[in-house]
Amino acid sequence: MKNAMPDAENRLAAFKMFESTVEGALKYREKMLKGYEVFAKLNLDEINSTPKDAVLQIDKMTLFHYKPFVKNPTSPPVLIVYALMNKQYIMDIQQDKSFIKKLLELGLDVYIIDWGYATAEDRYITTEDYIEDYLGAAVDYIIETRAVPQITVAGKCQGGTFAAIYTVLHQEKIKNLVTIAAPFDFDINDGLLFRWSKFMNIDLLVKAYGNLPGELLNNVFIMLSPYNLAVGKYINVVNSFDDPQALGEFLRMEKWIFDSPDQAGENYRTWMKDLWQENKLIKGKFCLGDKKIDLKKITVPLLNVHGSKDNLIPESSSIPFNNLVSSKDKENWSFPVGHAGIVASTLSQKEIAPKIAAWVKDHSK
Amino acid sequence: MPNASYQKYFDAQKAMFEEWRNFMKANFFKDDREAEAAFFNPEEYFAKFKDAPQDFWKKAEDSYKAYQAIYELWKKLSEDKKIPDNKDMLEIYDEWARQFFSLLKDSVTPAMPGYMKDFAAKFVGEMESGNAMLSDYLKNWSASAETLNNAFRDSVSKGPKGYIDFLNIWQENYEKTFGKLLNSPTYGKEMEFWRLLKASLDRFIKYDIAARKFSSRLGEIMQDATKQTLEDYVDMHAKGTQPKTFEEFYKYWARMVSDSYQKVLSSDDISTLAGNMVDAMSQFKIEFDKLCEMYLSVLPIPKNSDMDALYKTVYELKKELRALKQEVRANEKRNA
Repeated sequence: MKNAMPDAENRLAAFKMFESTVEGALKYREKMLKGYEVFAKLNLDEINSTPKDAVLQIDKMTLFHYKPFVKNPTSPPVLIVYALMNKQYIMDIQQDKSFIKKLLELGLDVYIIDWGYATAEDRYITTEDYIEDYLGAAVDYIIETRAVPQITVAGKCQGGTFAAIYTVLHQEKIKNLVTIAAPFDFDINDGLLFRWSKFMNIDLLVKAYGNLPGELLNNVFIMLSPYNLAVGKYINVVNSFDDPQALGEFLRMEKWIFDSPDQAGENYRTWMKDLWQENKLIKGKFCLGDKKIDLKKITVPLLNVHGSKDNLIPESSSIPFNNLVSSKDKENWSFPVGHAGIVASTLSQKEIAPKIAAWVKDHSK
Repeated sequence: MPNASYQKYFDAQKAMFEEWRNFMKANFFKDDREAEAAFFNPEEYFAKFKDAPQDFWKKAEDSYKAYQAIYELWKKLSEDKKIPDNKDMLEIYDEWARQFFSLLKDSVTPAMPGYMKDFAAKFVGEMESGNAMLSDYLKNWSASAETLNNAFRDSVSKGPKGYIDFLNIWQENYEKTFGKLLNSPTYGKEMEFWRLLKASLDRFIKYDIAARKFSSRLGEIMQDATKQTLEDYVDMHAKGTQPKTFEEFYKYWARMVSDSYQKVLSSDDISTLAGNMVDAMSQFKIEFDKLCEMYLSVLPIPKNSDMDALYKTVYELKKELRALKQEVRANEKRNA
């Protein structure tokens, strides 16, 4: 075996590598040690801290109204409907990245649904209950108390799908529909969740668990990128151990990621079987209780926003929605962000929230 | 003499359970105490599969070990100034492979979901103990000893892929032998208890096998990616474009691992393994929950099945109440 480099050069290269390695190891250790100090001083209270009032409570669902930031906010109000799988406070994860705060600063009047945490007694709650009874009650409450004929509904992820189904049934109450990273076409090839869902026996899971445990769903999400999500990110975060800002951001996200409510069994059954496995919604075969859901009935202005880096709900699942509705005023917006980043990132602060707010204001006249 | 026949049949059933207990002791449990616990107090034994997830610090510490292990690998490559050839690469790879299972045990396993940790630990333990464990496995199945022996030997040399082949044969044998016994009819005053106990053990074994197959496949991906990284390193070193610092090397390796996962996770093969594991887990939980209820039936406490009936009633009442409230509101609005 011959040497690749002359001896002197070899020795110098070896020394430099040794130096960089020792230096790297020392820095790593130092960061780990500093981390304990930074951890002790960290305050995560910023999560979900934009001022708001609980205005309606039905069973475990709470409707919150954010205190407007401007004297005369845009009317009609906007109701944000989040998914059941994670908590809605990702949209208010910290003050300098709060999607909600940005909408308020830009003059919107914002309500949000917190679905709460399903417990064993909720296992029989159906998709129809969530959409007609809980979401429906929230919409009615806003319309009645604010004395407006219609409101804008903005749904994130599963909340977007719910908002669309609600709009089909109660279009007279909806001024505009905004969907953010929402799945509509479930028969796609570029999303692991979509692929895996076809191999799951949903009835058996519901029979075994009643409600689907949030921890089980977290494990599924980790499996989307096992090394990065179970090991890699905990190695990389050490680089931020001496940076309270970066570490704070990491820990807030970490708290949100693992704060996954259990899923009410009956709703989960319908959601997974009818939509994820059989793709009934875009085939026009989905029924909410005994009501057939025909997306073509939607005629209200539609803004469909999605992320090109979204690996949970790839935009190929969101984009087709616009072709299925009859709305004349409809737009598809794509941003280079992921599923959380679409509502909790620098780009969402600088570009996505301002553009959505402008669209809503423009369509509220 | 009907009583004598009954006694013989009863003794036969007892003998079968004794044999089964020995089999479980030999293959699934660390010692007599653990086997006894699983057999007579399954709720205690299975409780450990419900561990809470590791806290953040534990994950960070364990991740650091993984980082160190891959660093050692890189150090070997970078300290050797000659251009590595394929022989060097294989030697280094072998050394890494020897460390692989301790790496899995120390760093990857703690980051796994609680209920999978023990399965993963057992998988690693078995691979490490090799032939010693093999003889234990085979003493119960002398009829298929040779096939299993070959398969297990292959699994040691072929790594996780060979281990999956071995598990397939093991499962086939199990289903033809003990699986049948565990699903055979029971009788007597406590027949339902024995049926549930046997069914729970059967579903647990099936879940165990499914989880091992799935985690082995994940291990295989990591091994392949590491092997590929080393091959790439040989090529890059020849061109002088190899990662110059450990950080660069780690990033390259981590990207290779992630890319490999992305490629493989979308395959039908791993989707099927994942689906089978989830199904097996559900089947086990269903049977084991029934068994737990039977254990608890002597206590004056409501059980899940009692509560489910109550939940259904509560759900229906709540729904009715919501509808009535809505009707009242509509009436008030009309009359206003």
